[in-house]
Amino acid sequence: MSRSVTDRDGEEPDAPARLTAALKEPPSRRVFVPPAIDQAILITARRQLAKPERAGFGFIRSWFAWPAVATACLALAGIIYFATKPVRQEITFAREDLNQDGRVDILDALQLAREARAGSKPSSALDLDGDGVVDRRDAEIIATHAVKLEKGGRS
Amino acid sequence: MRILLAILVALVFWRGHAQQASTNNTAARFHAVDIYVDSENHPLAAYQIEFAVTNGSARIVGVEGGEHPAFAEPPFYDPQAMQHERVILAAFSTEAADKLPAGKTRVATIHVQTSGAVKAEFTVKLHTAAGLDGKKFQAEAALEERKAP
Repeated sequence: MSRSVTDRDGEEPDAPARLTAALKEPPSRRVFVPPAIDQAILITARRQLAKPERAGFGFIRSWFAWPAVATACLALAGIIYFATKPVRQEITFAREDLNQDGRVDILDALQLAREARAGSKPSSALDLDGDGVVDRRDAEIIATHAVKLEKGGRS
Repeated sequence: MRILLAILVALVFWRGHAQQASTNNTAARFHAVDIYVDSENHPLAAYQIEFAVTNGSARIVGVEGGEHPAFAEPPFYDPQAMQHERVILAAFSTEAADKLPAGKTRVATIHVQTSGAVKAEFTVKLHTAAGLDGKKFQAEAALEERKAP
């Protein structure tokens, strides 16, 4: 309260005129407070103020500690996420896997044959017979590859 | 003496009969198995199937093309599958959609040689079927053994 009044030095309080006038008047009579009571209040106040504050557990301190705790939690979560996240590997497809579905089958041959027939220029990497032209014969090589039996026909 | 002669005749007869039965059991038989793909209303531009003999002593001895002009040529297959019991067949056509078969069509015929008393059984599994745009569609593969003439 006194700090508030001090901060507003030079300002008139926004209070009713009668109250302001009454406050400005000197007290008509002094109230006697025995020195023993003054002393007792003083001792109690000193004892209270002299109590050591528990380090780190004060209300103010804990209030300011929350953002730090939250930040630490976020950082920990981030570390765990990136540490456990599987490394994304670059998926590579066989050059014959034109439709990139993960396997070489007749659909890849069909796609290459269509492109060759349409006159579009497929990648020269698809010149599988090495004759300098990507054409239906290359598509047929893919088809031959697609029907290959790994175990020589035995199931 | 007569009894001995009768036994001898019976033995000779039994042995001849047994040999004939054995010959019948091991005689090679040939089967023609037609392979069909039913693409419903989609024009069929490409298919891939797997054919196998599931029991009995059998081996694949030949592969023919299908009935529709787009698939009349023999399909692609691994030559190593010959003389064995499993083969993957595949074919494609880049003809226009109106020149491709739709619905159930015979795409190939497989010739199989069997031997032994156990009746051979066949299975066919469709790997993929697609239209001219290369997009897969739902289709079914079936087989039918031709009746001996």
